[in-house]
Amino acid sequence: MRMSAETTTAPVCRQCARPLVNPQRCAGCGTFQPADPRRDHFATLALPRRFDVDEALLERRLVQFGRELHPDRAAADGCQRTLAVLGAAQLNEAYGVLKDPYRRGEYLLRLEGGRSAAEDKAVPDGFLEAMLEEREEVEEALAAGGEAPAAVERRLERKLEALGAELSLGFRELAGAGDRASRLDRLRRTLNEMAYHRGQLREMREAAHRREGA
Amino acid sequence: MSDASPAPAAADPDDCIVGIDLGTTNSLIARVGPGGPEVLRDEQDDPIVPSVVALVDGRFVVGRAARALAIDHPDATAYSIKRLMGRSPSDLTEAERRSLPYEVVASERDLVRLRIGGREMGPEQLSALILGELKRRAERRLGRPVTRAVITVPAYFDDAQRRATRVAGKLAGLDVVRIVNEPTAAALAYGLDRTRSGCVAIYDLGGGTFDVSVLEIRDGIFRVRSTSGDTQLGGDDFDRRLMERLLARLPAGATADPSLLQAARQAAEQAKIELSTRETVSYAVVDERSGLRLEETITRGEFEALIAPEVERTLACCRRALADARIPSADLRAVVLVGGSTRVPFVRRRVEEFFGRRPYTGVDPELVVALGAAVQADILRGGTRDLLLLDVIPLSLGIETYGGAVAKILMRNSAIPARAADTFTTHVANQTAIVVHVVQGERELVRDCRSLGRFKLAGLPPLPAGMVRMDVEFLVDENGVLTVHARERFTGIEAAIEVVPSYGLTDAEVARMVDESFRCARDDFEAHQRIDLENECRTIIAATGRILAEGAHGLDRAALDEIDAAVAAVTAAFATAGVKELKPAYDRLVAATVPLAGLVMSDVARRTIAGRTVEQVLAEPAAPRAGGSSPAGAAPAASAASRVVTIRGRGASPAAAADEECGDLGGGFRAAPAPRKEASSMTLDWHSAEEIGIRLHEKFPDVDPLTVRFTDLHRHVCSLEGFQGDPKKSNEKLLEAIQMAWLDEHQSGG
Repeated sequence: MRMSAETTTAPVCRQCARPLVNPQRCAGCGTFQPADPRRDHFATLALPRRFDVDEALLERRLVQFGRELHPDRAAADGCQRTLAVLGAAQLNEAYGVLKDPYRRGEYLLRLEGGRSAAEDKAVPDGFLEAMLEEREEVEEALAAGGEAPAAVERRLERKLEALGAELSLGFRELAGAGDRASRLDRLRRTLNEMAYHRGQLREMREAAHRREGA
Repeated sequence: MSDASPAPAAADPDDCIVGIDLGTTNSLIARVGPGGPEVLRDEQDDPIVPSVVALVDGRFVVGRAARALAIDHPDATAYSIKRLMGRSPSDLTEAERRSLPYEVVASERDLVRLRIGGREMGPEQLSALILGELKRRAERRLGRPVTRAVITVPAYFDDAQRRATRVAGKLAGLDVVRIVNEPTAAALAYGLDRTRSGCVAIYDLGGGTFDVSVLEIRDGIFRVRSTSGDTQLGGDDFDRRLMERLLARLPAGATADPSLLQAARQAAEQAKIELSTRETVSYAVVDERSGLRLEETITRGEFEALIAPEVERTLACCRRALADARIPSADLRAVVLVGGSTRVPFVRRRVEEFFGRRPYTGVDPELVVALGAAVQADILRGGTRDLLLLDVIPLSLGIETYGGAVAKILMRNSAIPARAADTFTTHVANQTAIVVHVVQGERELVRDCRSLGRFKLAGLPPLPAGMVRMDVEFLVDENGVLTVHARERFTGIEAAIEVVPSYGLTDAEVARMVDESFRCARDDFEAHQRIDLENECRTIIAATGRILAEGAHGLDRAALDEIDAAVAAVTAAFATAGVKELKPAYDRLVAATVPLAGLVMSDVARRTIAGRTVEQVLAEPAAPRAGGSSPAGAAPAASAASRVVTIRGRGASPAAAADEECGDLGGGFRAAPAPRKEASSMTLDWHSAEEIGIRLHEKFPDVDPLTVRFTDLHRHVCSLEGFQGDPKKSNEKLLEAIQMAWLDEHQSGG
């Protein structure tokens, strides 16, 4: 069963029954709420479950909830501290996933019932040729040095941004009528392509750092 | 309490936690007083204790006095101790070794020890002397004992270096309540004017270490976005370059003795300081032995060319930190300089060029880290309420996988507390144990990373390679304590360790562990071996007994007699203490029971692999079988110790296959699950939480424990038959425990 954010009822505090903003701890009475296996990363940050995330809101929520959950603020008492540590870890994990379009896409695709990268390694048509070209370009840029690697980095970043926009569109279309399975597969292919470019980008940055550090 | 974030307790004005900057060159101590954070100075109004220790005439001298002794007693004076914290002699570069006038030797466990004044001491012990000096200064100043401290370390310190710092605190009689990263501490001190939000970069170049951190400050929250650095790069290196230039004037073949080295180092340091204000500087030393005078003149431009490689290395770290934080340098609100070495004009100029803005130097860069440590101490004490620090792990954490590669589980710059999990499998068929080796570092191979610890997930049933599914979860708490938990999905077998003793254990435990590992390594090993051997013997005897009772073994009389004799020999050997006596008896037993190994294997495999956990199998009474069963018909229940016996590579022996059988031969029974308590005895406490949860599930199958309110939960608990006690007076955490037990039951029961 899939639930859209709109149909989820707003959670209330188990202790004082006030509506919760931070689902892990009541802002009213300070009660930590029990772990809920149905709480996904979006719910942890009190954001609607969809690909398009309001980044400013995401940041505000992290700071606000982080303040409420931080172990330095919790009582020294053992179980309060444990709950704070686990709550803050969950918050940080959720933020890490939602902040990054690629990881957010992977996560949301899984929630929507799509296949994992391990199950479906397909890539868009024509990608393999482009991939070989890109590899060559990266190697040449690293060999050339100077401004070349930075230029390739920027190109890769722009490519990733474009793919992020593709994901955004793909996830919005998912709600509409039509063949859901093939739309999920298309999202899978876009994510697989993104994974490749991300790897290239990371490799370039590491190589650049190694060269400078040496 | 209406406050959403209840603080521990109202701050007790007498309960002071000090902040300490334990530096490579200089150390300071600070606290938050009535007028705000302040560095505690000595009677001469000097805020600094030079990080130098001398041992002269059997007496330790610390600080300025030790520094003054350095030239006359070069072999009795230790400085730059921080560079050696938590390192092995093999970590040191040749250049580093050459520049140290004291001798560095390896301890038994390959940790660095310094030979000064005829004594060998660890860097922790020497650092403890500096911390002790700071502690005494604070106690004189404040007029009361100081026992708790926040100590700063470079953000890029790895675990061993942090552990060494904790141990030093412990040795100095300080309870180290938190280790804080230096750039973060500096940000806390600078950020006291926090009306403006935005990102800042902290460039911290000290005597021996370099760190850069990018922080976001908003609403009193200091969030570290990224950190990078080099723990072996600092102003000392500038001195060394100048010193090498001077010593190059020595006649060919001549070498510098420690006294000359020490004098040259001090002359070089003085020249560096003068080059900040003058264009040309001459510096010189006289070799006492030969009367030879070495003199060198250097211009500022030459000096800058000399140190440019080091400065460029710092900028490479800055580039990485900005990339990791995903913040272009134009978006930074400020660049803050920390550390005495940022006084060098060339450093300031290069930093300004790199970031494209003039760095901020409003607070004395030498004091700012100690002030920030005091602020964090005050936050932990409950005094400062409107600031909060969200820090990151500086280095990635992962585990070793097949072929010595590293699988990273938590990436560097993950915010703490942090949690992450991954799944692994086996590469060898019939592997009955998996060793989880936890490592720290950015490199791909285990041998290039720092090893943090190992533990074993043992007692797996023999399975084909790739069938095992081991979930590994890492959890790092606010102190950086890493807990690793591994669980095999198929069997439910679990193991966990708290990997980071520096954070996870008390300092007393660390000290004891360090001590013990020296003294007891050998004894421990033998004791362990003996326990393993004895457990294996018991396992074999139990399995053999059962198979023989079944009758279908096909062994002849002689073979059976040999088994009896071997069992008797082993049982007799249990009475003696050593491995020596037990080993031959064990070998004989194994040889005698070899013909039965196949029978035991198939029997156990059938019983274990049927998708159930080992615990479930063990909890059952032995299956009824013809010809009777194991002695006394007791329900087999393995002791925890017995399961540890199963070691990789022993999958085909009766011991490994049948180790679940040994409980009925004694040696640490684990009680079978307790029968359900009578209703009348049920009260509300931690032990009954699970029981109450089960009852609630039975009585209220339609109520969802996830959405039930605590007030309703109270009512439900009270309505249970035979319940005694008052849940209203109970801790809400207890109610939560009941709720979780209920939830478990709810989910397993449908």
